[in-house]
Amino acid sequence: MAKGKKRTGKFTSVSVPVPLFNKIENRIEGTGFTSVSSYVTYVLREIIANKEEEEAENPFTEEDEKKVKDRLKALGYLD
Amino acid sequence: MRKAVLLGWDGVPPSLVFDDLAEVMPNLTQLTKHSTYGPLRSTKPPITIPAWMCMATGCDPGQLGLYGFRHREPGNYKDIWIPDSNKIDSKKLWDFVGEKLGKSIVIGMPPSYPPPKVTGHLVSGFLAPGTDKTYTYPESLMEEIEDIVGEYSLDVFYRTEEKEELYTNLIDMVKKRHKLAKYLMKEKPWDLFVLMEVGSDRLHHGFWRFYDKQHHKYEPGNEYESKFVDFYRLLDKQLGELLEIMPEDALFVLTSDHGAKGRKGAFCINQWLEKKGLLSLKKQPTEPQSFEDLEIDWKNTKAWGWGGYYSRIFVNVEGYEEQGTVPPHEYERFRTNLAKELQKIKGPNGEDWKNIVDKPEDIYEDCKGDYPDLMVYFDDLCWRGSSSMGHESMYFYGSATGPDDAVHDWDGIYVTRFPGQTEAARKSQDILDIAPTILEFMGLETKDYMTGQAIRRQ
Repeated sequence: MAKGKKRTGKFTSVSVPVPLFNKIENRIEGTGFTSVSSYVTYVLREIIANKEEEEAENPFTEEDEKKVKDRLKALGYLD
Repeated sequence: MRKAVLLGWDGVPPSLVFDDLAEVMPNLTQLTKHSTYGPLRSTKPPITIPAWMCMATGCDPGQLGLYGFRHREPGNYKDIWIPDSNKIDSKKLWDFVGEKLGKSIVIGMPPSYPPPKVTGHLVSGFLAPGTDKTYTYPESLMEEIEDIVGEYSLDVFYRTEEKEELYTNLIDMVKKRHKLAKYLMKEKPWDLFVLMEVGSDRLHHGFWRFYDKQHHKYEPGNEYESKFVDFYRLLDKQLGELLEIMPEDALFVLTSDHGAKGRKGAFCINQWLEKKGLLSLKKQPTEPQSFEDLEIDWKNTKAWGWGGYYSRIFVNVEGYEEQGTVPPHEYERFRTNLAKELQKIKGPNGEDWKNIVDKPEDIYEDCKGDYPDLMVYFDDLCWRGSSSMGHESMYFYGSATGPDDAVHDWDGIYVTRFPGQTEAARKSQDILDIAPTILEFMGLETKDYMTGQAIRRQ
């Protein structure tokens, strides 16, 4: 399938090296993950979600800090 | 991984809910019949920051480098920074859970803004600047919250005489937060569920004098006495509903970060230092002025103080501070003598006070960040400290930013119920015991730097 074209259906397969597969198999023992695929999917979702979050990063800006300081002062935390 | 629920009620003293209000809190009373419960000793200082994070990390305030709601910018007398989630390096309970591929739901723990990435879902606490900012992780949770509860409430402004409005806002906030909590508990996967409700602390600050018959402003027969009780009735109802939907095989932990008691007044620490000849002003204020607006003669100042539930004292050390005056070789002797003098401070009528003065190095495992030189609690916390100057007396009863009836107390509460526990035990625990208790139950590793002891089933 050409790059960029949307896949249909719920699953597809990707290849991972056998040594990595074996490592994952050992790692998921007793964790509740029933297969290497479910673990790999979980990890990749986390990474993608983190990446998306990073791109929309929301740091504690000066404006945030001023708002919070004013509120804390009004609440009596900064006497 | 076994499941655990940590429910937090901010600022609740043990005698209030275990004794005085036991009859109006049937769910809590029933729970304590099958639990280990009692007073939970707070951190020094016993305030929201650092207490909740100490509970969540198993670290003391020194290890976290968090000594209150504000901290100094080193080398600067007046600039401050407020702790946000990026400032907490130590692993929180939910980090331990996520590391072992477990999921967490965390609601309202301060500081949790900007919302950190967690394995699961997180809703920031009251130190988020507003709901117009991204206050959840993942961000998409904000929309879901709006669908469930409408406009979410992070906090209420309690220093107001508009009591009816405050009470309405308070109830609205608690109901929304619990509606959301019950929804998330049912609909999302989790191994660790954490909810902190700040409303109890706000109730105390706004309404303590209406309930506490010992408070100097208490008026018998006032209309808010029953509302104070109604608030706890509501909290108890919410507790019952959470207990009903949580899994039976989970550990349930209810805690409070500190207690509460009536506020007697505020003591002007910098006016006292000035009277002692340790602080000098370039210009005397003609009316009460906050510390940042004062013109301090730093070259003739040896120490200054911050206010709040406790006072932090900083020594103007030569070579360390911009215009330091106390030579390093005199520092320790100066600090020790000052501690002795602070210890002797008496009340407005010459009455003895139970003051507590600590050197941070004596009470913490480690002292990270820019820690104060001395930490002072006036009259066992009954009096607040104030850094403002220009008051007629060193003692004052009002507040520049609106009424406030309560101060914090050393003991909060804890209730731990292990799955299937049928017996009860009432005893004291320490706030640093909570993280090891939860980690141990969940089957996660505790760390050597945690000095608390896990509470175990009796």
